[in-house]
Amino acid sequence: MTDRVTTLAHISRRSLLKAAAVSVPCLIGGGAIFEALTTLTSTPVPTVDPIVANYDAAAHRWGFVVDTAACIGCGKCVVACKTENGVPFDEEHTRTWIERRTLTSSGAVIAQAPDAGIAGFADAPLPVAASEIVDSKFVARLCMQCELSPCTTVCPVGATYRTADGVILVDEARCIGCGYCVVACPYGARYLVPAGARTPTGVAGVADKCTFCYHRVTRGQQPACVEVCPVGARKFGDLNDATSEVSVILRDQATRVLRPELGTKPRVHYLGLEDRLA
Amino acid sequence: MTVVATVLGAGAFAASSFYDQYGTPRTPVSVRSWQLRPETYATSDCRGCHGEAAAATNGLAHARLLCEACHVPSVDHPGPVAGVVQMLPAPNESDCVTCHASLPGRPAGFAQVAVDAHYAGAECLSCHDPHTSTATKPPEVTHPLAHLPTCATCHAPLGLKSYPVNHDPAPDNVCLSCHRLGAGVGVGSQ
Repeated sequence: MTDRVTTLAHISRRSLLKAAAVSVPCLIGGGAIFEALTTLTSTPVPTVDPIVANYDAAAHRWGFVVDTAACIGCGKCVVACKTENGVPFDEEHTRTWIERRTLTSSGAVIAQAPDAGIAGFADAPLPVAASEIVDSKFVARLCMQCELSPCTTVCPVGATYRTADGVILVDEARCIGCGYCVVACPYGARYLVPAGARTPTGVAGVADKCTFCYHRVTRGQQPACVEVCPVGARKFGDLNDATSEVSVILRDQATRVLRPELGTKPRVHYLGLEDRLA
Repeated sequence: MTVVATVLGAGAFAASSFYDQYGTPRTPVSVRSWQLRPETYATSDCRGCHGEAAAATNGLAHARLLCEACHVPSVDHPGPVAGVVQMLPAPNESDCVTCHASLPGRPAGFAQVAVDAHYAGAECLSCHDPHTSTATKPPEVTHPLAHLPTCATCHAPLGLKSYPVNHDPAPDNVCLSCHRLGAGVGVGSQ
């Protein structure tokens, strides 16, 4: 017994180094071969009818910039979004919302989003005295349209998909309303359509989220929230176009994304948002 | 062992390359729904017809605003009704303070007022025109108004239309002992 243990220990000690020496290159080599094979053999995702006629999704790469230094927290964007997309006028079910993030002298960050910000913040007092406020910003929130999106990965029926232009959409006819994506989204950007709500297809129980107003952008227009913003705090454009406003901002100015540590690579970027408030 | 390591390595790479590669064929219902979705905002050229309101904003801060930021979405435009084009809703007090109340979090450079201190008790729209946004209406204010705030709201030392220096701040009944509502200028007995 003792002999066996000794032998095993002896072998494993020696073979550990050996195995490491062999398996690491194998790991990399095997992976590289696999990658090459999949690249060679993989067929492009079968394309079905274009989502919108005369719209070439592959020609665009949509990006969004929220200028927190300009946002006044009026809530016009939330109202416009809900009106445009038939989203219920409440806090729980919303595609976009405004969060006021306030850093207090005690170091705590207070986040408020009364009624998703529909009526603004004029009637939403801060629970701290004005003298305790170190910094405060309105942070408009929406689906981040992540490049590596947890929601599409967890969907058991493939109802959530990504279009060639980068927008994540939900196929209401496929969605079974399990809610996995709602839970998986680290940004809380999804909700299940409640009964009685007016949806694009009239289906309650399916997952819904910001689509960058896909029906508008595919017709060459701006999302409703961008159109209505009175201070130009929401900017939308094509990152494939180097002269678009969003491209210029991302090139010339310091922006950040929310929760970059998750590696989701959001397509919504924030301007003027300091780390201490993010 | 090497075989196991190779398989695991390949698996790890497979997982990373498969991650988020889903692009499922869309169902016809979903495809059609995007094509049929109506738009509600910025669907028409408001300023084309409403030239007077548009001209009022010329060169001013509100010129850049989408009319629908305060008015109804253009798709809900009531249209000509018996020869009258209506635009809803009527200007509302909350339309102003939603954007212009002084709040923590608002950019310092943005025009905002402390609502409780700025002519407290007076309606925004009794002085301000919502299109020009400047306080251009005091001359049109007719006294009496049913909802008239106290005299000192407007006729204070730093007010819109200040009273002469020989006046002291006084309650309304003192003012009204000399001034008549509706006459504006002092026509009192003194």
